[in-house]
Amino acid sequence: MTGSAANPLSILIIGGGPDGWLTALAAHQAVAGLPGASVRIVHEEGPVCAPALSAPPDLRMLHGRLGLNDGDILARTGGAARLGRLFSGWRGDGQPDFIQPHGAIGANWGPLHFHQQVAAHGPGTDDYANYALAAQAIKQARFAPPSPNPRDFLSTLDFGFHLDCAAYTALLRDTARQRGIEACPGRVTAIETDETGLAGVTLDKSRYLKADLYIDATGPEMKLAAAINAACEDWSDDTPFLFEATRLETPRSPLTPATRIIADPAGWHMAIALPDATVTRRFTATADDGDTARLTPGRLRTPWSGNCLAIGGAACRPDPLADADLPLLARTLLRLPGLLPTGPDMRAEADVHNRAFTRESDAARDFSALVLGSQTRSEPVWRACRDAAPSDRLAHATALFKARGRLATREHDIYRPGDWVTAWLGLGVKPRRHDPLADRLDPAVASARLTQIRTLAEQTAAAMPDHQAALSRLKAGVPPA
Amino acid sequence: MINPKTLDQVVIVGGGSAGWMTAAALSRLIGNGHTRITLIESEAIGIVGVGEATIPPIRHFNELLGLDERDFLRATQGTIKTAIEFVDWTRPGHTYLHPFGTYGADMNAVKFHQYWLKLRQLGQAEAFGEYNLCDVAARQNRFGPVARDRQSPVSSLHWAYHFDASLYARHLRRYAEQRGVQRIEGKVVDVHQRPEDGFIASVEMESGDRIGGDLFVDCSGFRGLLIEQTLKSGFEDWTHWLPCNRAIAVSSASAGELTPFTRSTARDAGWQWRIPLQHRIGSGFVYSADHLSEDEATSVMLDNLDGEPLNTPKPIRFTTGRRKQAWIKNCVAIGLASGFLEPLESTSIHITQAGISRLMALFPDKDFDPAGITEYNRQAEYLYRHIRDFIVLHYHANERHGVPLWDHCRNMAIPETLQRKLDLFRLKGRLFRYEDELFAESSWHAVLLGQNVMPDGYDPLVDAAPEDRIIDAFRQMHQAVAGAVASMPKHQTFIDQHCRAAMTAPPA
Repeated sequence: MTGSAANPLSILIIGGGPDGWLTALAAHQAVAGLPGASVRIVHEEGPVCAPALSAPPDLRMLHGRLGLNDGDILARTGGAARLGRLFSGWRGDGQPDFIQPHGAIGANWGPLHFHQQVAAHGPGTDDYANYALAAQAIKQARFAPPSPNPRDFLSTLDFGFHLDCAAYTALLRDTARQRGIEACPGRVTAIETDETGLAGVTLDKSRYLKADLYIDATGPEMKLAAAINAACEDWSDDTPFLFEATRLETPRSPLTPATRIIADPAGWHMAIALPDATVTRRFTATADDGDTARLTPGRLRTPWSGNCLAIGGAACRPDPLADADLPLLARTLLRLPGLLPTGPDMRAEADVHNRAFTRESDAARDFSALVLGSQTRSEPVWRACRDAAPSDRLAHATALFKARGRLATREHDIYRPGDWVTAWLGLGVKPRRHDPLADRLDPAVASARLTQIRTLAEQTAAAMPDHQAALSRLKAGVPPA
Repeated sequence: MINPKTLDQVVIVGGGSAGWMTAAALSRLIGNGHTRITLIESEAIGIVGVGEATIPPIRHFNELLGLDERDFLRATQGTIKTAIEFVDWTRPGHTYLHPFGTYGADMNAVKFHQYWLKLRQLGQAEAFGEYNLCDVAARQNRFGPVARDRQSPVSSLHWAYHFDASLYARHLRRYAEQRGVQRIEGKVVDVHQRPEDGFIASVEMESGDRIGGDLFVDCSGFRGLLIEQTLKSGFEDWTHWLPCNRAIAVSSASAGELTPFTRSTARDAGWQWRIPLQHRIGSGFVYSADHLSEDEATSVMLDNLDGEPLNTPKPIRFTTGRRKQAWIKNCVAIGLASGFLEPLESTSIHITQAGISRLMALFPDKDFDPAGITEYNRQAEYLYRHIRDFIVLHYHANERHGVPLWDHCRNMAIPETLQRKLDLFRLKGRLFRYEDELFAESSWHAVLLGQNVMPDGYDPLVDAAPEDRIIDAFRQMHQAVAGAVASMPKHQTFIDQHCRAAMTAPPA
């Protein structure tokens, strides 16, 4: 076989949440212009995701690739900007909140990470995140899109989103229709398999569909994957907080451009601030409210098996603390165009994806383990969280960090180095000493440089518009100042 | 104020390029006004360093030290390298280049080589190398800076060097000594460990003097005086994948035009290198003692020199593999003491340089934090395995049928990591590479396609672009490369004008 003209590729996506629609857009873009190729999505009616999404900048990266405009998304869906996560209540010793900001945090000096400079020549590591523009903007509830000019300090900013899930899904669906993607509502009622994997699906007991590649975007149900390959890893033992209750609250003012992550004696919750409401997702160890859902953390051992690729919640359900659903999805979809199959044997492509995905989801698992294992609350349920043994990878990374603040290399990390560092430092895990390389910096020069960055962060944040005002301007179609 | 945990004394055991590269880098980067650096070497112990070929990261190392490129080339009889020429590797009579830099330009987020695979089937593509600036320049013996044009479909020029390794060591010795490194002449005859934890306390010289230190860097070469003989690191033997275990090195007089590339010629029992320096040619024959005697190897090599041999051929024995732990307690092995991979892809100096960078990034204090040591060893292992896979590929993908060494290599089970890469490439020319792998995709493409590993198909996305547009884009890329090369001077002219070593002034 040479090339693919003789063997056009058909892709069938099952699932109608943001996972499914984003996949449809990505697949459609990938095969655009390919003779005979087709992308079709079958979406089920009904509720498909939590009322609100909190997405780190990885989603913006995906939007960029798919040609979706961020300002447009914020304006049309009534969303808000997310400049980081703001953690409260994770320290039993009454230490203050900490911020995990998006975008740059200071600047490295050769191999010397920025936090080492703060430790050696600044006011101490507690102050590390405050050198990020995003942290200052969160404190002042301000927002502006990053500047494209690298000499402007505003170019160091990055942001993600708080999105009304229904409105965002509708926008993705409309976009898919505008782009001519074939979409039909329906419910899978039967699945046929053969030796290569899936042979076809029946919709509503009446319509039969076949494809070369099936993509399972049905979330925890894993409808397609379950039919051929449901070997799962169960991560339920990683956390006691497996019961989720969602609430809508009145909007808060000022509108915080960050997801608040708040621990309390019985569990934790995330507060996703939208202009019209704050959505809280609360996670506890018992189902004491009537209206709770039980989480099923875990992942498929081989998310791409035969001719079926499971994505999003069908492939992996990390602890919500890991903030990893959308980053995992974004990486899967960015990888997909390079792995489009040309024949029924997809083992090589699947192998590449499965290996990368396993490492990416390992990172997610380690990240939530880091937070749960390093918090210092005194209640028994929280104490018990600290008894879990970390993975070898996390144990090594933590030991390396605790010794001299160094960062272990990790293939296919989904976090930036600063995300790990802010989590450790914020939870009180500190290096015993800074990197000896930092001693080579001239103390006067290094400390002046730190002061300069800090001042720039504060001043640039102060000059940004109020978050709420910035969103209103976007909605009214006024370009950013 | 100096922290009491800061090291007082670093002892480097062994000179040569590894020892002096380490000394130079430490003297430049540790500079805390407290830590002393001592290097012990013996003029009685020879160094392996012969003509060395390098890869582009060497320029970062030199820049880190602040070395002037022209001074450096002048001092080391250095020349420019933009490629390796592989002669007879695929099969006798076949030649290809592995150039630095990339091929063509990706289009519509699809890799250049994928389009090339299609156009090749249509008979519409030039040879793969015609789209790589370094490849075309190397074949025309040209080198010189090209104007950077952001619009140009041609990647910028990448280069490394050939140089005399012992002159490089001498150049760096001057540099390090100027920055306070103390050199001690003599042989180490004994090593003393602290009874409580086995850390190295001191090394004892032939004179009876003991040199104590906090950190010992083992640059003693193959034998691993500290890391193996004292600390028993253990060795992971890779001879089953890379059976060559001997080399013979010799210098010969230059003849013909100065080439800006290393040549590697496959022979029945191994391969021969040719490294052009300003004043001579460095040559050597890497072979398997199971397939050839030393006398036979010597005569094969001498029969294939450019000019008269200038010295007695020097035999070298080695075992391919890596030290299981490059860092144990307070001892770090750098260079050949950390392992050996034949210099087929010019990685010896790079392995040394990477070890030094890693040591800098994880530089210890008196606590010798075990997590830092684990991380160092993890990264070292990763680099070794990656380079190993790339070298094994050269041996494995051959069509030299009926020759025992090559039949073995073609039929052997290769490392799983390499097998996966090959399987994926054979299918549709795809390659997935981790971000921090040393050899970029273009290097893998060069060797895979060069050794005739042709994919069965190409990426389906290639068909999304109209053929005539692709053909047109290819024509432009080809012309841009040819045009850029035409504007370059000859390599010899470049050397003469910028960095000719004192002893090689051409006859008037």
